[in-house]
Amino acid sequence: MVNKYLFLAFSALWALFFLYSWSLSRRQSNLRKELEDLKGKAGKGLIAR
Amino acid sequence: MRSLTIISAIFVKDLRVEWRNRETLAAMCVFGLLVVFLFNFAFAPGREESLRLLPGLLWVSFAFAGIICFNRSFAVERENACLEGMALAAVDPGLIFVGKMLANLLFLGIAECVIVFAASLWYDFSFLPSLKWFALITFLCTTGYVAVGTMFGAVAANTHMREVMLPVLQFPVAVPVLIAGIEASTGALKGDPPATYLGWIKLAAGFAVIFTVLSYLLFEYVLEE
Amino acid sequence: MSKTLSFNAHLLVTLVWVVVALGMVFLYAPQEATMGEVQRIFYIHVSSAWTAFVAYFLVFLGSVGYLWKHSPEADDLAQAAGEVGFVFCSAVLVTGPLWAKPVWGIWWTWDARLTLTFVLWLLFVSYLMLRSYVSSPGRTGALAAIVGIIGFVDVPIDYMAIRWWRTQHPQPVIAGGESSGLDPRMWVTLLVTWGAFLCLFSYLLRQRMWLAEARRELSALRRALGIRPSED
Repeated sequence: MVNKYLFLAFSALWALFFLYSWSLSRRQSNLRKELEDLKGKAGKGLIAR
Repeated sequence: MRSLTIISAIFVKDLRVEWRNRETLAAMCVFGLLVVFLFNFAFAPGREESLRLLPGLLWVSFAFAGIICFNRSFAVERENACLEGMALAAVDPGLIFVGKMLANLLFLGIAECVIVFAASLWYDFSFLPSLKWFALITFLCTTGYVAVGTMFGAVAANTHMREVMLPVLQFPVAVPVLIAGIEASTGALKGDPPATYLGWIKLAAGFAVIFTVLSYLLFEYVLEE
Repeated sequence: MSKTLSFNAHLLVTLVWVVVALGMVFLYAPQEATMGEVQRIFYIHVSSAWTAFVAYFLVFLGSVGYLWKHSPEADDLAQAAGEVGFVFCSAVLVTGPLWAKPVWGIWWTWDARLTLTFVLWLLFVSYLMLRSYVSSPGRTGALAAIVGIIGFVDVPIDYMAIRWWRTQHPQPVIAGGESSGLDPRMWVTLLVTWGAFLCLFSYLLRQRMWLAEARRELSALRRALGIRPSED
């Protein structure tokens, strides 16, 4: 049986890193989508100068 | 020297603005006194305990009074686009910083005197025997605190929630002078030989020099657009 | 795209290194005499701490670089290092109490190391808060740089002040292991673990910097197309 605190410490650490990576990844994909949308609209000339 | 002229011009300007209604000074003193007053309920120290608790109490009080000072120091400038005006004036921005820092130092110094006086009455504790050293320690630590505070006051003035942003920036950085002020004051008020707290005095002096110079050098980046 | 390849390669190296490090932590490093199994937290706790300090140094470098050269990449570095460093610093403050409780019976103590780490954590928080709250976005880089530089110069002074303060008012110290005679196998494990953490840190840093750069590209594109930020 693994020590409770040992288990918690390692779990918490990886949870923290995982949460941050997930947040970063989500922000990146949102940004990519926005960039694609914008480039698409620009291409179609839907945006007035 | 032209530099001194500019510094004193800013310094005198801040004094004159404050003298008109003395709002900032009043707010600082009242707030500082309130902190000391509230501590009375938290600790209700007897005479023996006063010595242990007073330095910490005083420095917490000074710290908060200082925050009020730094906030106001740049709030008044924003009202009439004075910051932009100063930035456009062809002067070394660092000198503007020094002028404002000296004014803030004076204001906080006055508030500290009021707070210490009240504390000595309320806690029946005389600062007179150790006044010389206590004053030196307080002066050095306050200088460092004001150097950082004046700079961060300018930075925070550019943010939303500036009243919150300033303490959030200030307190972590000010930890060394707060510790030095409290530890050295404790030694001085106890009547310990100055050699025991000389290290703290040197730390405070070093802090004051380093951050005054650093802020002087960095201030132009706060003003530029 | 070579960037994606580079990121994937970096991620792969990171994962392998982390697995190796964890293997060493649990299988290679000897059990500590007095604290038992729980002591193995030491490796991730110290590695996170050292990484957090490296991160803050990068915040400083990025800040100086930005003020000196006005380079947006420098600002990206400072911002990314601030964010990722905050995560690692938080990890220190989470693993610390989980180690302290079974060993010392208390969750927290204001010993010199933990106090300094908490101050560092506050410096990260204030840096990130400032970046979020600046009124006009064009000023963020310069203002953040000032805060980053002042904060970094403050760290060694904090270190001195807190140490002296603690020698005058001693408290239980959390990490018995670091300087007091580490078994060589523990040293190797610690260094390998730190290496893994630095690898992970640099991977997250690069990803975060990519995000910052892409955001600038987005703003530039918007400006070029004549869209004001509130539209679209």
